[in-house]
Amino acid sequence: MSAATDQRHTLVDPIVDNNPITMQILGICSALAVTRTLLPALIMGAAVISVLAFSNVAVSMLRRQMPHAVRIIIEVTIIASGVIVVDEFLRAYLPDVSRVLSVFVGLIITNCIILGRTETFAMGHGPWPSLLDGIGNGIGYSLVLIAVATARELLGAGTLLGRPLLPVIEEGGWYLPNELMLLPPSAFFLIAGIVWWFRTVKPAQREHTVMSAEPGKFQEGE
Amino acid sequence: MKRNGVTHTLVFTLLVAIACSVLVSAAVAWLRPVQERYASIDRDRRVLDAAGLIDAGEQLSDRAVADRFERLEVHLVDLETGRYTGAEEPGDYDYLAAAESETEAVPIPKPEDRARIGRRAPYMPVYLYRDDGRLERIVLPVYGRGMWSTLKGYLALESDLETVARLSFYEHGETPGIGDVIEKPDWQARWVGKQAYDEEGEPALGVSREALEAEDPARRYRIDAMSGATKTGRGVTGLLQYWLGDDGYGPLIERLREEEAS
Repeated sequence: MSAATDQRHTLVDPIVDNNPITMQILGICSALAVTRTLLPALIMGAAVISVLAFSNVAVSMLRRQMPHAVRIIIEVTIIASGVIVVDEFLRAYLPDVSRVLSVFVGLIITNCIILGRTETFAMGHGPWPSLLDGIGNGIGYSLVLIAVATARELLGAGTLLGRPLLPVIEEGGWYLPNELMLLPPSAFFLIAGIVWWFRTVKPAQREHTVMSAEPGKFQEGE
Repeated sequence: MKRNGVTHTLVFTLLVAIACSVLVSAAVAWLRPVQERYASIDRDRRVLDAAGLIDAGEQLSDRAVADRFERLEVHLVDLETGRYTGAEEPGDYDYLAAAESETEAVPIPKPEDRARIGRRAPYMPVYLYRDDGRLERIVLPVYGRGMWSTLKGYLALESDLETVARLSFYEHGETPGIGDVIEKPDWQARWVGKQAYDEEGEPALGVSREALEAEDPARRYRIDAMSGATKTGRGVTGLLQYWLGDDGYGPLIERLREEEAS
């Protein structure tokens, strides 16, 4: 494999084939919380992409000097700094969205995707592939967020980005908004639906070992 | 130095910590003025809206907000006496921070504390809109506990200082799809024209606990209960009655009523 296709894989693979949410089931908590409407989901996606790219590159540059015993703490320190900068930035330039996202921007620190990427990828690769990996995983996360938020806003309020698309009954239209879509559990159903759909279209993503009820034993699935 | 040695670990950690603190402090210091500007424009925009100076659906640029805000008279009021303090930049007084401060905050006596906020700032900013010197509207910042969160909003009264011109909430953390009805325009519109005080001059404005008949006399002061959001409704009633009462804006409203009458 040439270096160019290698880089392309680093960037593109996490978008569908190894998507952090649908394949690795990471970052679910924020995906539930910020997908009620589309705009915050877009901003949250952008925030995660920036933090992932920044922390992956920073960790990658420090990886040769990183003392093994405290590496997780160092990684979290770097991630936390990136998150605070992004949060302050949103508060300054997008105060309305920042209010909707409230604590969830800060909680990017604990988003398992970020620490997962710095620890498994950036610690073993150079800054350039790490940057691509960070952006790719960020895009993979954002796409799922956008899909879920689009469904929730459209079905829950009949709007997209605040613009009315389905005329709701309250305002003389025909659409009765599904209020379940406004509540967090709906994101669970939607994410599960996306995972199911991904794994139907791409059977390679199915898990072949299934946990057995008996402790310590695995049984073969499929 | 060995990569996993104690000295290396300590020095490395310290350097990363210093670099990160510099980065974070620089970002905060650099962005603070922008944040403050936005916050103050945001606040002014909400006050203008409560004062009835923004038409429905009208989009105002930041510049236009600042210009239009010039039409309002802003005062800091000593809640105890209802008199203006004459402080400079009264609109920038942070009454929420003052209510938290050990030195400034005034405790609210338990039976009075219908807003369930415990203590308040000694002063509050108020906004008067006058046309040709005649009082048209007064905008009062109000806040109090709802079910999950502190509800923050503005209550605007007409020139008679009795009739509600507008009630708006701009910040809350009530249940989505249920208690968050308080931010919806059609719910806020139901307050328009309600009377703040009953015949005895006691604060009566609020959300009804039960369904009101069409002819119910309580309709003068009350709006219908919101189904499923009983506690949010109780919070709204509590905070309105607190701020309209003697420990809130009562003394100011009384003084203004006398002055406007003469």
